[in-house]
Amino acid sequence: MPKKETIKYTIRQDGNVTEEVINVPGTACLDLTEDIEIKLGDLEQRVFNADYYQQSVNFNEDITINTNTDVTL
Amino acid sequence: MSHFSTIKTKLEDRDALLQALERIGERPNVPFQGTSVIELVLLNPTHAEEHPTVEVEVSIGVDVGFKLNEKTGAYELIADRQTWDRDVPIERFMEKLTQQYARMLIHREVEEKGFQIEEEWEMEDNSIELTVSRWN
Repeated sequence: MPKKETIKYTIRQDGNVTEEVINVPGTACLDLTEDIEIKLGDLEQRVFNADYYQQSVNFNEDITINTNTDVTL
Repeated sequence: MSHFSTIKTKLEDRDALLQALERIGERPNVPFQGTSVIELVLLNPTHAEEHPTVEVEVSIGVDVGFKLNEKTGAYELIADRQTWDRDVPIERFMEKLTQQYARMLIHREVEEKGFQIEEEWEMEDNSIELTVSRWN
């Protein structure tokens, strides 16, 4: 099913840019924006949110472990 | 949400630079075919008899231009503070130019990737908020 990918740019008064990638999980969000970032200039800071680390396989593993622990208790 | 990036914008793209200059009301001149540079005449207040010339790739008027720094790959402003007659100081001019440059570059690049502009707002703090999206 197609998913909506959104990027929000804030171009500050001094011309420097903050970019927020929304709804693109894992490393796909980097692939999406990296070449735009390179064309714009020098990357000063990159902050990842939780869903960057939650690629689908890892996410399923986490759920299984937690459930088993709950049952034992 | 997946990540936030902060980018320091550098003026490296000639087309976006020319578009940005037009957006802030300037009329950039680029060299005619066959010539690689335009000569600016700058005043030298301490040696009034000397008017050094600087070769630039893009000029606006006779004493303001942009020269490509081959080491950094970025265009640098060449101007004469003595004859600067625009309604904003040089530093503010560069900010306005850089903001429009980033805007033109982002528009072009996201459209090439199949994004559409959803919203674009000029905020009270003079920043521009631009939201783009696509279905994938």
